[in-house]
Amino acid sequence: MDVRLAELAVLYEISSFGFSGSEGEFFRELVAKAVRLFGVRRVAMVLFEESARPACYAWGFPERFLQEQGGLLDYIHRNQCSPGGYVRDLEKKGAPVLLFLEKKREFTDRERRLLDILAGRVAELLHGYFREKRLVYLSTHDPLTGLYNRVFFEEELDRLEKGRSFPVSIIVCDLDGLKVANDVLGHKQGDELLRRAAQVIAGCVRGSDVVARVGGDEFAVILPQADRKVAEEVVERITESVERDNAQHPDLPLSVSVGAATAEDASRPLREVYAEADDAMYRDKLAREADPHRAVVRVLKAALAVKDYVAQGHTERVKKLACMLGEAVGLTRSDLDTLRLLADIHDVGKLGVPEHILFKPSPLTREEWEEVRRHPEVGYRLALSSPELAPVAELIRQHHERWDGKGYPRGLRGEEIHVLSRILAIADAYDAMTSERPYRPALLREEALEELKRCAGTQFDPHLVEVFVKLLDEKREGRAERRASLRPDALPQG
Amino acid sequence: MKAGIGFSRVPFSKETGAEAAAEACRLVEKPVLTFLFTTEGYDQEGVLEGVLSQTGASCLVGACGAGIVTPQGVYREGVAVLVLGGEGVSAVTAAVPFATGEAWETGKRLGKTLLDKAQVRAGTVFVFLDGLTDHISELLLGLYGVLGPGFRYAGGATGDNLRFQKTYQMTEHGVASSSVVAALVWGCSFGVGVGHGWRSVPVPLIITRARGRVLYELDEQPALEVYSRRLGGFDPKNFAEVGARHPLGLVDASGRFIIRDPLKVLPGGALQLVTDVPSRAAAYLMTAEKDDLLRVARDVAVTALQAVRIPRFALVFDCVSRSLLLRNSSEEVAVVREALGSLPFVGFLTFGEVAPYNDVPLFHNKSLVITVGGE
Repeated sequence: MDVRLAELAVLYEISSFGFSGSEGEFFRELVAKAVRLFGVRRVAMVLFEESARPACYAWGFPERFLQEQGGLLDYIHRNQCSPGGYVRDLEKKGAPVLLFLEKKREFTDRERRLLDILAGRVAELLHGYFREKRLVYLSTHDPLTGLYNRVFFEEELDRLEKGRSFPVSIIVCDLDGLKVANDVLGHKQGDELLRRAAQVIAGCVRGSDVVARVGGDEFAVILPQADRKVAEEVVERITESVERDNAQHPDLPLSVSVGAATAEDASRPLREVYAEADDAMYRDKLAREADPHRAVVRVLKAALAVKDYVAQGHTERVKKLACMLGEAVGLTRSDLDTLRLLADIHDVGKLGVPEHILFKPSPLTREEWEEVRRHPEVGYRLALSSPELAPVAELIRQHHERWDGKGYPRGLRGEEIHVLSRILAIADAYDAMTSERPYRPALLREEALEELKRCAGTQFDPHLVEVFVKLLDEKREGRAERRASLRPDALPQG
Repeated sequence: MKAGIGFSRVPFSKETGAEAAAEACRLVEKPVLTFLFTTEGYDQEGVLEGVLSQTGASCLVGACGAGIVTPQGVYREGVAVLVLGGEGVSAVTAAVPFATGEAWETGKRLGKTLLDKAQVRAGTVFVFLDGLTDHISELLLGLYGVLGPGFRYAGGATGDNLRFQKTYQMTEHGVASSSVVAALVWGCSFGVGVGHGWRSVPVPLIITRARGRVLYELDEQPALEVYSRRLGGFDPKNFAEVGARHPLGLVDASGRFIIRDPLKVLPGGALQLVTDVPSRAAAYLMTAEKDDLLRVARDVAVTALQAVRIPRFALVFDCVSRSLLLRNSSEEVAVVREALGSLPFVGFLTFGEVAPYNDVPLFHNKSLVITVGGE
């Protein structure tokens, strides 16, 4: 036949080439066409997708042959300029694909021209395929964590309900302290917590399990053909995995509450099982809130430490001093717990004060003082935004009030100021005075106590100062007695 | 290398197998590979048993066809055997059921089985597939995908006596249907020639809808309607005759055609072909005279001969529809015999042929494949 007529037939077939639905089927159709129309003996298609390894489709390359040739890409590279080789990078045509065809004899110019048209059509089809694949992915996946999203999760519940995959277990995980992390540390850190949590959870389940991010800080796992025992084992694995992850990230640890439930058969709707798992997660969360090292506090302490807003050991010393004073004045255990929490995070408002002011070595200007004096209010608002910290929000706001009413931010006086804030003020001031500061050296213990006594009734609660000074004197005397008992002449003779 | 050929038409299955094999084995004491060609009407297992009683430990690959091709002519009944042996000649065989909907994977499985047994990088693969199955082209692509261009390929599709009911494929392990069998031979040379002789009518038809072997639409209309119109109209009752004389051809970029044979009319005006056709492709009506078919028979034989330094024998896989058209196949056999000279040959009438145009085995219709073996 006249080759020009043959060319028309080939052009028609190329232009009507369609995408078959999967990469593998498409490749096979491409092979069939390339063989029948061009007499090729080898075909390769390499797909370079973002954040994935290249997917290689090769035909006419026996396994051993490829191994000897150093792999497909090496072979293509070496043969791209041979007379019987044809290579096209389709990136510029909108598809991240490398196309390779090989014939025993050389391709004629006319065949190369037709192959260019074929390559263009392949690029067009794959471009559309990738775009649709991306859309499907985005519609079913959470872009931040890469897990499935709620839509997919719900569809999967529906599907399993009609299927034969029972028993089906569901695990619900909630990331504690995310809001505080976002507010205090920024969304970048909050997102990092979410990604880590997602990775930890996904690493504890089977390939057949569905892991989804179903809420802002909530994850859910569907485990088909998994009974209660298997679910509990997975919960245990998640808990252990969180601890291992935290060992790698002590400055910003994860805190995850977990709950599980199981449907043994189809008689129980899976949404009911999901609700049960959610309840179990919430019970776990409540149990964990009694933990003094709960997530929110850890996040805030981490933030303060990162910014170096709190001098080395200051928080722990203040906490110790405050609790000593609190016990001495007969605080209840619950109040002491609150006092400890207050000691941990009373300075959280400093996260809102510019660093150049906070660390200024010379005296502050009036405007700069105003900035600093904002920090109890900032801390108050921060604490209010978290259910775990709301109980101490007002205490944070009051920790710079003065007994004589000349404090800030609201000028409360006397017993209008909560006793816990009054206690903290004394402990905080004492430790601040006896610590080095950028603008002055540390005072001696006696000097600091004298200052406290001088300010009793004005800055500080006079009764509490009296108790505090007595406690420290007693402690000092107790230490002196113990040192004396250790002198050689104090040892019993004999 | 040695080759021996035998043929028998004794009407008793085991005896005819034994007789044909005994004749072949006179020249080859310890055959390495046996080719067995039978026709319907025999008990295939009986024939196989008879052949194996003579060939000993030889591998065997076999096909049932619509007739046997011998230098003396084409016979509608009979059993032919060709045995190969000699120093350095080796062979393995494989049989794989042809899984519906998994043609490509079936081909891959066949290739892997052969390679696992043979561990060679070059040789010749003889493939015999059930001619009543679909997607044979895909199977061959799957097979080639595993073996690659280091091997030559030849073969044919098994058939029956044109009732299109059941066909048979054999290895030394037994007889099967709906399967594909293959023999991989190495240590000797083979040349493969393929041709058909059909010429195209210049105006194309567009296959607008097809699936597998069924052609639903041509030019966006029912296939039979368009096909008939192009041929000036005919009574659908005469389709078998018309279809045999006017197949379709699919052209490649070099202008060469591969033929697709219409078989019967289906309800709704669709056409069933002998093998699969691509959807959304251009096809041409083909035509041929007797001389066209005879001329190509010579060309095919010469092509196969020229590829072998010392030819010893030939295998012929001839589409049954050619013999129907030629009315008297002996003319074609005579042309082949003349082209091959004194070279012994044997073969069978196929329901489709396997041979490459370049390196890759394609499935042909209405074609002639000749494979010359030697050193």
